[in-house]
This record gives sequence, C-alpha cells and structure tokens, in this order.
Amino acid sequence: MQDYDIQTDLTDQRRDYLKFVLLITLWGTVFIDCIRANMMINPFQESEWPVWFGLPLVLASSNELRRRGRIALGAWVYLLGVLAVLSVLLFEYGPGLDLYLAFLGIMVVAFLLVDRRSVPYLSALILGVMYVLTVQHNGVLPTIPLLIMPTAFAVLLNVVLNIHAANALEMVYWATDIQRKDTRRAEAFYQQKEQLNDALLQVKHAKSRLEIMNVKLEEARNQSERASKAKSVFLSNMSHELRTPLNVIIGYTSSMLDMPEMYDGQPLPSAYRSDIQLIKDNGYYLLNLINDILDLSKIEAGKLELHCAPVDMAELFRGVIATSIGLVKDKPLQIRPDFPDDLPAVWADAMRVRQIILNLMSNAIKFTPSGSVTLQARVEEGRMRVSVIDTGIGIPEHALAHIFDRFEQAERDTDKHYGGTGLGLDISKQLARMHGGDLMVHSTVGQGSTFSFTLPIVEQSVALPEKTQPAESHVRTLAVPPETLASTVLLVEDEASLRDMMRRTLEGAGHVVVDVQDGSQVLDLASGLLPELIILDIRLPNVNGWELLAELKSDAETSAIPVIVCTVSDDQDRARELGAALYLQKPFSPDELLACVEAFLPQTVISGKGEA
Amino acid sequence: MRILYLEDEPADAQLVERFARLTHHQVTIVSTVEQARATLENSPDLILVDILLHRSRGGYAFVSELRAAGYTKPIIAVTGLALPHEVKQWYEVGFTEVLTKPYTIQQLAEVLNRYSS
Repeated sequence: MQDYDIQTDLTDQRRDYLKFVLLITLWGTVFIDCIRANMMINPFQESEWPVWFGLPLVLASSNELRRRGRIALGAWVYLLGVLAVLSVLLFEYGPGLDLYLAFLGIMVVAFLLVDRRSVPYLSALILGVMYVLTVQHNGVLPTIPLLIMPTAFAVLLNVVLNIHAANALEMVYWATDIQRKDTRRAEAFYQQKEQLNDALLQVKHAKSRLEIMNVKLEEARNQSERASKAKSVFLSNMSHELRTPLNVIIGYTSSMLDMPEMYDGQPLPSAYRSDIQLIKDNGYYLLNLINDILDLSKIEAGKLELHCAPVDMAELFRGVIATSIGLVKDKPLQIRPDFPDDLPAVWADAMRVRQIILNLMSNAIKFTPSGSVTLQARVEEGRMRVSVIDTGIGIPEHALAHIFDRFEQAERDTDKHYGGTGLGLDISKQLARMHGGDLMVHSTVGQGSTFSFTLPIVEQSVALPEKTQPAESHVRTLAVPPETLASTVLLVEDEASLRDMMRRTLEGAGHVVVDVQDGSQVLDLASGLLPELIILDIRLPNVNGWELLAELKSDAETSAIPVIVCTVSDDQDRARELGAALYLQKPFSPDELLACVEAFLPQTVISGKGEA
Repeated sequence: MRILYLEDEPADAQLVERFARLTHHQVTIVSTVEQARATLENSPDLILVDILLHRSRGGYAFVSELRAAGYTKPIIAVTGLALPHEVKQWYEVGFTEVLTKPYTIQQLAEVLNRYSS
C-alpha cells in the first residue's frame, strides 16, 4: 500500500482545473469571435488580432504543456498569455467594465492554477498592468469605483485564499497524517498477520511432528510392554518347566531316603544312600539356582519391591539361627548369636533381610571347616549393623573385588567343593543396597571373613507390631505354613536316627525344630534363640547332661524355658530336683513325644483358607 | 480319607498315590478336568489339583468353577507355577493351600496329615 501524497493529488486537481479553464476560455474566445464576426469586424484590424490569433495560440501551447505533464508551466503560459492578450486589448480600447472583469476573472483563475504563494504577486502584476495601461490610455487614473473595486477584489481574494487555503491544507495534511498512520498500522497488522500465519504454520508442523512422535512412543511403549510381558511369561514357564522334573528328582529321592515304608519297608541299601543324597542335594542346587535367577531378573528389571515394615530383628535372628544350625551337618562348627536383647526395630522387608542373612550364614558355614560362625548385630549412628563373622578359609585379596560378581567364587574350583550358585552374594548386595546400605566384606586368608550390612532403625515412636511375619515365606517352602505361629524347640540328642524321628514328629506338628547332636552349643543357643521348649538328652558325648540342665536353670535368661529330660535310665527325681519340667523315658513313641510336648507349647494355630 | 488328584504328570501322580496308599487313603488319580468332574460324584474329602494340565491352566479353571458353584471342601494346589504372584493368584481363586513343586516326601506327608484328621 502506498502513502497518500497530497502533492500528487493537488497536481492532479490542477491538471483538471487547467483543462476546465482552457475549455471555458476556448468557448469564450469562440463566442467573442462569433460576435465580432457578426458585427462585421475585420479580424486583421490591428486591435482584433490578439483575440483571433493570440488566444488560440496561448490555449494550444498551454494545453500541449498540460498534456506533457508540465502543469505549472502550462498554467503560467496560460495566465501570462491571457494577461498579454488582455493588456493589448486594454492598450487598444482603453478601460472598460468588461475588460476589468476579464482581468478579475484571470485573477480568480490564477487562484485555481498557480501555487498560492504566487497569487499575491500575480494579482499585483495584473492590477499593475490594468492601472498602468489605463493611465497610459486615458492620461488619468480610472474613476474611483474602477480603481477601488479591482483592488478590493484582489485583496479580498488573497485574504480568503490565505485563510481558507491554509485551513484546508492543514485539514488535508491532518487527514493525510491520520491516513498515513492508519496505513502504517494496517501494514503493521498485515505484517503481524503474516507472522501469525507463519507461527500458526510452524505450530501445525510441530503438532504433526509431535503426533508422529507420540505414535512412535506409543509403539515403543507397547513394544517394551510386550517384551516385558514376554519376559515374564518366559520366566514363569522356565521356572515351571524346571520345577516339574525337579519334583520327580526331589520327591523320589526324599522318599527313598526317608520313607522306606513306601518300598515295602525295605530300607535303602547303605551303599546307595550317599549317591541318592547327592542326587537330592543337586536337585536342591538347581532349585536354588532357579530362585536366584528369578530374583536377579526381578532386581534387574526394577520390579523387585520391598515390603518394608518395622521388623523385630531379635526374632528374625532366632529364626535364621535355627535354620543355620540345620545347615552345619557334621562339622565341628558353632553357630553363635551375638546381639543385645534390647535390639531396636528396623525398617525393612523382613523376608528379604532374612534372605540376605541366611545367604551370608550359609556361605559362612560352607566355607568354614571348623570353628564358629557368629551372627552379630550392633547399633551405630541410627542404623543397625548386621555382621556374619566366620573363622573359615578366608578370601585372598585379589579375589575380594570379584566375589560379588555373578558365578564367581574365590577359586574357580571351589564351587565343586563347596557348592552354591554363585548368585547369592550379588543378590544379597543388591538387596542390602535397596535397604539404603551396602554389603561389605573384610577377610584374611586362613583366619576368616566378615560380611556386614546396615539397616535403618525405626524411630522409637513407631510401634512394633505384635508379631512380624515374613509376608511371603510360604512361597519357597511349606515347612512353615503361612499362618502358623510356630514354636521353636531346641532338641539335643546325639543318636542320629532318634533325633531324626523326633525332629520329624515335631515338625509334623508344626513346630520349628533346632536340633544339635552335642552339648557344646546348648547354652549359647538357648540364650540366643530363647526357644519355647528344650528337649535334652542326658547321655551326651562331650558334656554331662545334668550339668547342662543345672546351668540352664541357673542362668536368668534361660531358667524360665521348660526342659524335657529324656534318657534311658530312670532318674526322674534327679530331673525334678534340677528343675526339669518333665521326664521322658526312652524308648518312647512319636505320639508319646507329642503328648509331652503339647503340654508345654501353645496350640499351633492353623487357619486354613477353606474348611481344614 | 478319599482323595481326588488331578495331575497329568504320571511320575508325580505315582509318588502321591504310593504315599497315600501307605497311609490308607483312597486316591483317585485323573489327568483331565472332565474325568475330575465325573469323579466328584464320589464326594472326595480332599482334592489335589495340578494347575497346568497339558499346557493349559485347566486346573485353575476347574477350581474357579468349583468354588463358584459353592464347593467348600479343601482343595490343594500342587504346582510348579510357584512365582510369588502366581501363588497369590492360586490362593485368590480359592485354593486352601499351595504345595509348590518340587516338594519332599516329608512336605507332602505334612500337608496330607493336616487334612486327614
């Protein structure tokens, strides 16, 4: 859009005026010439030629200039030409009203055609020519009216012209200015509109790009969900497919080893026994491997969630120790509990903490041929440090860095010797980290190793629930049914077959049994485990059972635990004297044993989901 | 005690059958859900169910159907589908107890003894 130009407009207007004036003048000239011709006046008479020839010449040249765009020059040619013609007429004929009117007319025309600053000069020139020629012709100045009227007219014209034109111009300029501003604004709007359109287009592009990306993201998410689902299905299938043949291996070997009744009472020949045991142990090795792999894949997928709650660690430790003692088998190895009675509760996932400690304990037992494995707990800086300290073979320094790697044991050939999946420490370390700590190790070859980790202690204000139960402990094994409040029985008996029978009988009734074959650990275990009941054989290989009984009863911690004494000899009175709760004379049947035990243990609670 | 055992793995079935015979229980072994339905007329005291039968979870559907029909006697899952979330699912559908494979003969004895009284 172009700026409005007042000058262009004025020029256009002048061109139109000039054309109009030229036409009027032409018709006027023709009219006058016709009248003169009718009056039989000879155009070649001296005084007539300017009208016949001068005026058309002036008009023609002015029009030519107008056509060429020289409006101003054309106007001047017209004005001066007409002035000259009028001057000749005035000179020839002397002053008269018609000529004076013609002079005034040309003054008005000048007002239309020339720059308004030139109008006063032009008026003065015209008046000057009029008066000079009148004086020259008449010898005197014109009469008063003829003198005053044109002068007054010229003055009036100039005054009106100046006031009016100035105002008009001002208004025109003002209007133009507004229009110019509007134009600029419109242009700005237009530009903004363009920019907006551009922006809109870009937004549209961005939107479509986003939509494409969303579709891709959705696809990727679906893909990863499908992959994750496929992985879960695979893990579930793998677990099932491995457990199915393992059931045949473990189920049949366990019945061959422990249930000769199923084979018409023919016991397994002893020559086969250790081999069958080996098959069974390897079956368990594979089962543990499956569980470890599932745990690891869960940890790696970030899907392993901790179910944290305040945990009574002393109780958890007792359970772990009971299980650990079962792992010792025939080694001269002591399991030592070493933790204060007033242990604060920790904020942890009981099942996972149990898994860590059991793993460390079973490792320690595995790699300690003799001596002790200590489960220690200490409170330090708002956390509880749990340590498993053994007096085993130790780990050489160069191997320390790698023991947390998968399938890695200190010596390549140790796994043949000691068993284990090689995944346990990795899992334990990750679980310890999930509890906000880390699994640390110190070791000296030949002297033993210490593994430790820390757990956050619960603020005193948080109440500990009555009984913390591992939420999903029934998943791995049904040894402890999910909703059973099991009692712990410490069983001291040196004769293997009898001990085995007693353990099975008690476990069958839903109790947790910690069995030891000699008296060396009894005091430690009794104070560490605080079992609900102790069954004590009097004839033990290395210590006197009576002395043991006396010591148990004299210790403040263990004196309240009921002790059932069982032996072949009839020493009922002595047993009573020393504080035994009951005397059970050998031999006894499983039912007799159960009857005795039930008297001292709270009834096992089994709340089945259906009608048991 | 009359026991109905739905199991498609002959070796597993045989182990349970042998043990149960020893303890003078009557065991009927069936390997398909249809057979199990037919045997329900003998009104067994305890039902053992393997969940995955011939590559489909027929045992699960069977128990879900039984419980929906108002069957209240104990049903035990004997299965290798033993991941935590799976076991949770078995309890939710109405199994009284879950015995995960592999199990030892002692574990089997313990479970059966608990329901034989």
